[in-house]
Amino acid sequence: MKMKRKSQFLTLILTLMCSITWSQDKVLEVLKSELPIQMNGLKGKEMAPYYMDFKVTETKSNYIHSSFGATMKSVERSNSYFMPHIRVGNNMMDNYYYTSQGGRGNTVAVALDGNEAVLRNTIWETVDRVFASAKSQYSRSKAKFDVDTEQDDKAPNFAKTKIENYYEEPLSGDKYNFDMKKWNAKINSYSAKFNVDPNLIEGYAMISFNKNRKYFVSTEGAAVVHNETYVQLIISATAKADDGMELPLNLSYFSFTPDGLPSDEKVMKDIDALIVKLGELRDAPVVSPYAGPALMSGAASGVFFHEIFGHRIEGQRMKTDNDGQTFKSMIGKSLLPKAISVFDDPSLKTYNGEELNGYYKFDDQGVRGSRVDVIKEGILSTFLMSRTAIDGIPESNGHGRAALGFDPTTRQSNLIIETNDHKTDAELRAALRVEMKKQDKEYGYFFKSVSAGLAFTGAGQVNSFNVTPLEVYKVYLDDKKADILVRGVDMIGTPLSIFENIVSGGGRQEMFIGTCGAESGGIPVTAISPTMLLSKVEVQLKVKSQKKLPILPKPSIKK
Amino acid sequence: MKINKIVFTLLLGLGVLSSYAQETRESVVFKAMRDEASRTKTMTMGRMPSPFFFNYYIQDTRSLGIVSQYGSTISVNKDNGSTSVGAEIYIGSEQASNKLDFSGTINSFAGTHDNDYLSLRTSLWNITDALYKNSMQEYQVKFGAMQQMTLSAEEKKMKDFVTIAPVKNSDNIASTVEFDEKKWVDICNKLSDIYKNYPDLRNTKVTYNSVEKTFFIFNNKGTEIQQRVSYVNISSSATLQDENGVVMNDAMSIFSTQDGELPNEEKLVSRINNFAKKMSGLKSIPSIEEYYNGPVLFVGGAVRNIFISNLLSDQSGIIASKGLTKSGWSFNPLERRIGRKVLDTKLSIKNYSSLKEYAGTKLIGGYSVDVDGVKPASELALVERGLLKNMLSGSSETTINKTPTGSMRMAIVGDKMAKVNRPNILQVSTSKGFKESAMKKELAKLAKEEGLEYAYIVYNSNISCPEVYRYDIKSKKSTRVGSTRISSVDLAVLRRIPAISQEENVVNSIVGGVLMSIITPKSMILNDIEIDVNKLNKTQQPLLPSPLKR
Repeated sequence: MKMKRKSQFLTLILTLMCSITWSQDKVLEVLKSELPIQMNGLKGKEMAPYYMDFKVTETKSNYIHSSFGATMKSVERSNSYFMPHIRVGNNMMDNYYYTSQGGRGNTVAVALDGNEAVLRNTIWETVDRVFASAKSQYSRSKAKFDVDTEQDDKAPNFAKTKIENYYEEPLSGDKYNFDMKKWNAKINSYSAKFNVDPNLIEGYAMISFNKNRKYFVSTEGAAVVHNETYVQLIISATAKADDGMELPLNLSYFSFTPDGLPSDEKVMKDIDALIVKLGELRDAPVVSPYAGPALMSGAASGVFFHEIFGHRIEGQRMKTDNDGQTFKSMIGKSLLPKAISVFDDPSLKTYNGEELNGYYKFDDQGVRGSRVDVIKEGILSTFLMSRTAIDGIPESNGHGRAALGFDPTTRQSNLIIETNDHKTDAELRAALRVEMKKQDKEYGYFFKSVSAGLAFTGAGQVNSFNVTPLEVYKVYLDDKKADILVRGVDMIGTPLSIFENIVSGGGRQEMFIGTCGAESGGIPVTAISPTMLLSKVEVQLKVKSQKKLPILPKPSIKK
Repeated sequence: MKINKIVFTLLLGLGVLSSYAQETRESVVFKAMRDEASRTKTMTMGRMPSPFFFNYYIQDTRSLGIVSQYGSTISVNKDNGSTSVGAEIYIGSEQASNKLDFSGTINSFAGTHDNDYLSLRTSLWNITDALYKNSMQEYQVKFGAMQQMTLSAEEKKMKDFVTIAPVKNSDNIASTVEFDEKKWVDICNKLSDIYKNYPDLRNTKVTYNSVEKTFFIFNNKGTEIQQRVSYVNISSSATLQDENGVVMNDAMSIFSTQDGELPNEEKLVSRINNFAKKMSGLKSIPSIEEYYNGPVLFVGGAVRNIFISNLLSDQSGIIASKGLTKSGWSFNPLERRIGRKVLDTKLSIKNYSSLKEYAGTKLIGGYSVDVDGVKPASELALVERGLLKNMLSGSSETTINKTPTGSMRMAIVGDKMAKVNRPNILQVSTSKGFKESAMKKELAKLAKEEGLEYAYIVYNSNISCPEVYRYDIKSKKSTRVGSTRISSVDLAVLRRIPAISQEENVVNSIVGGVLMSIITPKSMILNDIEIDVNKLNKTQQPLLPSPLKR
């Protein structure tokens, strides 16, 4: 009995503590009190809003860029921004009906210390302006709606969702501090390694640390306050071949806190290997256009899947008839070999012990990010969803994302491709040679790393993709012949045909960490995949610089 | 014995370290420039000749920007050091080179702010390689195009470069900006809090900016110049919507080259209060009733703006310009009017290069050598009694100028590295001026002659918030009016000026990207000026009351 009382007391203290913390958060307090003032104030006005949300994003960022051992840029910034989202009309047809981006440019800087007068005045001025533009956007939408043929999709333009209330304390402690002086010295020591090779025309290291605190309140009653941190270390060097072709190679490391990055010893070792590889690339032969079988490493497949598959499972694209809607009518149909499954999971913080930058608790519409099994055993099951519903998928699964200053739209987070028919590296190589033989090819390719890619999904353009490989090997049918490093490759194709060419997967699960820049701005994403065997890929010669090698040797005498 | 050896080695080591640490920025920068130049001057590729002339530029920047609102900081941007490395590489000869772009833009890459000799040389090497490879293409494009043109004998003879003797010079090297973040955050916060007392004003801000740029300029003829340019600026802006729905944006700005020369906190509070009070007073000002065409008295900033817009344009002002178009060389059309009347004969214009003070005001535009290494004349007559005598010109020959006037400066505003041709201390003066106190009387006389019952006085012609007063001739009362559109004033209007004040205003500012001191008459009357209602800035009143009024 005594124990029980004690426990009740403890609960009470905890509750009180919690409520004190909530109510002490000045920014949250102002957002929560100002939202009903604005919403109720506009009630009864012409085209009154049916929904409103307010966001404040506080950001602290550190950035250091060093080239060949010297600091090129070193920046620290603190900012806080307010952005309202206003919907007029009704949830079936509103001001966002024909465009997912209504709010660009409506981000306004507010006080770093949460000053109430600044925030209230900014809210008042910005809501007045954004409401005026929402009304005119809605009028245009209505006029278009009246004269255009009906869109095929009849699902709500803004779906109901679970109302979330969540609060995190502001981040504190040394692990969230960034020691500029210490990191500047480290970054300089990393990029200074490139001074050993006079053939490198570029050699840099850069680190960025972002600490964000995000506030979200909505007229539906949601109140979400959470923190996000990202540290990214990128190391890159470029060699130039005698024919003028520029050959970049990159190293990329990610962690949620600076102390999570790899040790100096590990980074230095990776840089040494990268310098050696660049030397080999300079002397590597140039490829000829080719169509035939190929292996793609996990990291390369990750980018490949992000571009050719990931952007086509972003549900909001299916809403508009302007999109190619590659997969809209394919739910329940087979898209990939039965052994392969694909899911996107923003709630996943690590994978095989590696931290994932696509992780978040809540998306930018205040919806909890959740795992979505997009392909189960080769069959397309569903799409990634924001609050813009599509026929057959009425709810968000927490994938409404946006960079600061953009309205959210459906985006990927941690895209993971797995196989339940795992092949070893040796088995995959053997299978590659079987494909070569079948197609009467003397060689195939192994794409070990890629830098980036791009994909076009619009209805009015050719649905295609382009992936830029960095490290590619020619693999001979004759297994006694060693692989040869080659250069000058671009991989091209159309999404549906390339899917039919996926044969099997295996080897090591590898990760590609990057920033995806689609409609709602640059957002952090991860793609994880096993090595993939494709029965056919098409490669073309990449566009190369026409500039000859530097005329004079690079300066190398220190004093 | 062993111990002694260690101590000796340690001392030697410390000696080496301290000698490196003592190396100044300029010694490292100029050494990197000289050493890279020694390779550049002999570089060749295939049949391409070596550069006959090249410039290297290194620009170091430090800056601090603070924005405050209602007592709190909105943003702090502090650049503790960033560097750009630029170059100009020319093949051919002074007579005929690959120079295609005469706008003053300098190609540049990001460089290091560290005292890192090797990194600076690598940046110079990189940009030299890129520009030298471009130079042959430019040369061929230029002379291919010129062969298609019909050029006069004079144009054919015109040189791309005037020979300039090498010079070694260091100007204003002492740092004058404190970059005291805490101090200015506190001051900006205090000043911005004043606006809580002015609930009619929206979007109020107080901004502090300080910038220090150090330029290192080098050429293969032996010129080495180091210049430091700094400024500090505290400004405030606000928006007001009057009762008719007209939205007005206005700002005040105080400018200096040193923190210590800005007004103290008490004076700043008073200036902001005055600005806010004046702006708030516009809430219910009457709009103008009818179209007006007649004499207008321009005062203070309005006079200055008229001269800046007419005199400092590359296309039509007192600045010689040159460009290559499809049909041949193009020049500032004013060049053809040398010796002719361009302004009222009561007006003269001079450029001073090194005047330190004028009528008790410290001047900021002075320097001893321009960025091309040309020493400017201490006094240069540009317009004498209305007749155009000379124009400011750079190192490229134009139809009238064969000698540079030493007016090329490095721009201190904007992201790109650029040289601009601008006056440093510009004086517009009159020989036959009225007393300032007589100007309104003269305005009334001119208005009466036109049969008008009133005239207008313009203090500020800023489109968003013009400061215009209706001057009643009978009562001699001035009443501020809102929402006006004032017809533009071009050189043709300035050829006949009925009345000019003999008193002068001196203002230091940034004009056209450079520091400049401008001395102009306090006021002048111009004829045939149109004033009408401006309907462009009218919008709906906010739907909800301001939080400051709840």
